[in-house]
Amino acid sequence: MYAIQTIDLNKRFRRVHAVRDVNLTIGEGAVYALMGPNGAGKTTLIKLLMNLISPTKGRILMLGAAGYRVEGKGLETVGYVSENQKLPDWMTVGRFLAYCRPFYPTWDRSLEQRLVKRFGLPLKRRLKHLSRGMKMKAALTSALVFRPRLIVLDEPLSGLDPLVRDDLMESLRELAAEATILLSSHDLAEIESFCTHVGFMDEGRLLLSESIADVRARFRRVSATNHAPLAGSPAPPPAWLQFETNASSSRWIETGYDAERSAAQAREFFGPVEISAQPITLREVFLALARTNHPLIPGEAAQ
Amino acid sequence: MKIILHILVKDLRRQWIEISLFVLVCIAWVWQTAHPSSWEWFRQRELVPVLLFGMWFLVVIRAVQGECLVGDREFWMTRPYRWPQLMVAKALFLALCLNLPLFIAQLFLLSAAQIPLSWSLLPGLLFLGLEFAFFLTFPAAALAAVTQSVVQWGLALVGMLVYTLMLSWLPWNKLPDGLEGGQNLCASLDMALIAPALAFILLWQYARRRVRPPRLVFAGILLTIPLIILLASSPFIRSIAYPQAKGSPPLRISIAENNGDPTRTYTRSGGFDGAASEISIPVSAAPADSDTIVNVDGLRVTLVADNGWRWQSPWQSRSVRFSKNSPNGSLSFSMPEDQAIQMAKLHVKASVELAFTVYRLGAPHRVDTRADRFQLSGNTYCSWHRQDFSFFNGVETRGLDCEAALHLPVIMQIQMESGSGSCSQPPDQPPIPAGHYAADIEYGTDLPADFDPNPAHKVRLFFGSWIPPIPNPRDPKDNLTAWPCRGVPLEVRTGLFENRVRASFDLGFIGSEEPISPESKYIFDSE
Repeated sequence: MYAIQTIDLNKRFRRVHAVRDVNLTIGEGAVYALMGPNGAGKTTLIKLLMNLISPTKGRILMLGAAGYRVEGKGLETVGYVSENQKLPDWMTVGRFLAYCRPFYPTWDRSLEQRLVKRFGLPLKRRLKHLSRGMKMKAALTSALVFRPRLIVLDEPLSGLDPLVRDDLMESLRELAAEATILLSSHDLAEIESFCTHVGFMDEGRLLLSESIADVRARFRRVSATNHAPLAGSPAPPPAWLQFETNASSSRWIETGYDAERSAAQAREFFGPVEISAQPITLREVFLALARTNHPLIPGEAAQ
Repeated sequence: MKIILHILVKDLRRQWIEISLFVLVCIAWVWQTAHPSSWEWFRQRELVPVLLFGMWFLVVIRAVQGECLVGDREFWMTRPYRWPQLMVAKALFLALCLNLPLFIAQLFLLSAAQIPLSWSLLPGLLFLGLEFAFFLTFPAAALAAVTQSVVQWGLALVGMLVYTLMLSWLPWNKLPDGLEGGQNLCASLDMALIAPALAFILLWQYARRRVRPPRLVFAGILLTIPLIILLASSPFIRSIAYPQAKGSPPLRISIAENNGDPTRTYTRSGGFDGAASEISIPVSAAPADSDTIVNVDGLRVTLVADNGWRWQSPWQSRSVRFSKNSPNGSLSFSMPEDQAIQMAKLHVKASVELAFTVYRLGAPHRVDTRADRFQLSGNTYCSWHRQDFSFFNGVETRGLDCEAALHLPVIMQIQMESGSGSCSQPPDQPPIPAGHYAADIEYGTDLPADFDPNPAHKVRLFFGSWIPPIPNPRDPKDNLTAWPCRGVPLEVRTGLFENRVRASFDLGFIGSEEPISPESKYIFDSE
């Protein structure tokens, strides 16, 4: 069963088409990283999923529930934290956690104590007197201690110092075994070590959505050497991103790497040539996609 | 229920400062209302009621916006709140923090007015609480549900006030007057539109939190205001509010004889510099029986002259009361000056269409007024007080202070007769001979309570002149005013609204061929 499924999801804000025909599927147990440049539509998509805004068109299925509205009792199993969420600042951290507690039948007091200790949360201090990082920790604690089936985090690492990030990632890793996690982040290095699936959005479109392993296998930096100079400026195949060439050598990012097929394609393009391929980081994939605004690359559903 | 109480306790913690301030203002208001004389020194006497309502609105806004229903950044929106629980928690909070202190304050005020507290007052007090919830809390909460902050709420309110001000600049005076019955009907219609609209706004926002439809509904409510005003003066509403009387009307009306003079008179005033003239026709109107009181709410006059000249007034709002004991009055209407001057030169036949409200009085009961304090009727109590009336040339006399708990009856007639009881005039005035009477009529409501935070309504009885009139020996142009004195028996009759009807009456020929200056009297032919 999918934890999240969207069908032809669209959201328009007057002239701005923030989310376009997004068909996203996230299987249960996946840790899904949603990437994309600023203004790509990640936060809008997450708000749609969390029923904070209504879609202009399309459907959302959350945790198997039909319809796009996750609300009321349905939120007992969903933990959501956003970097720009307004917390009840007048409450102390302790009061805030105590206030949230009765809403969740699965609230885990021992996990609460562990997280409070790990994050070093000052229970008697008001939320408005906390630093940004501490506020985020408090919000995360309140969103994780009831052991949600689905955790949705919108830019949870933004503006946090490395120590706080480590604490947070450690807590998420602990919960990853029993929950589905969707997080949007620019912190690609952190995500890469942690996520099982990745999605890339740009200009409201979901350009890529598949497992990290598939992305790593598919995306390669390919170098071609000792080829004859290219006559004119022939257009490289569409699967080659960031194509650069000089007299006898060229390099590009191959989006559908397969040793034999890619070599054959290179020979077809250059004539006799030696090629070598190296894996690339998620960051490089992100940058290549972001810079070229590559059209939708079909990928497997994140299952 | 556990969650409801949980949210309620959270709100109490969050808003304890505003709640405390509201309670303090409530106490100040009770003190000010119960001891008006101790506040004489305080120039800004209106400040406390303004603060009371200001705090009321603030508590409502902050309570609703504690879980703000606008925007997508509120933490609670992604928590497992059930919207009906949240709504009930907010309603309970407002009842507890606003209605309960006001209820206790009202008990103090009733007690301070020496009105005996009894269980019979409870339904009225609860109704009053509901009225406050409906007229204050409900609209304030609906507006708070579509705004994000107190400032935004205030700006929206200012916008609505500006809109209302702009509406008031429209030439409403070009329309025929809306009569009381029509206005009441339109007010009911307005309520019937606004109440579900506000309920929709609140329910929608709590259930869906999509702010555009409720904001459109708010705009729709504002747009209906001028339509309702237009409707109030429309013939359609008038005909519904005042249907044509079936059979004989409950009133016979004729032009009053002028002290036995066979000629009839009307007076004309104003009409200078192009302003409208006010024509006043003295009439005698007798209801069918002594239990009926007829209140004319408006009239339309048709004047037709022998030479074919014809003028008809638009419907004009007027208030004249006729009863068996008090059949004399005058029907007044405005008329363009040029038409009034022309009319004065013609033999004119007048007919009038009256829209009136009929009340039926119940059996009379006599009230002994010898005690310092006595029960006038139902929950209305009076006490004697000492007060100087300059009208009586500084001679000390006694007057009545009355207070009605929650509301007065729909209509209440209090009558006293001369020569009875111990009422005496100041020494330099001749005694009032027997055979005269004076009456005061007070209007109230058939609802359990009037919309007033103070449930102890002050009633100042004023009996007017003696009937038949007794000329004032000091000023023959004036008649003696009837003042109650301790011990005078009062006859009190309360009554109910019976119906509103419309009927036409032929007044006969009026007119003069004398071209006289505008301020003088015009003589009319008798039939």
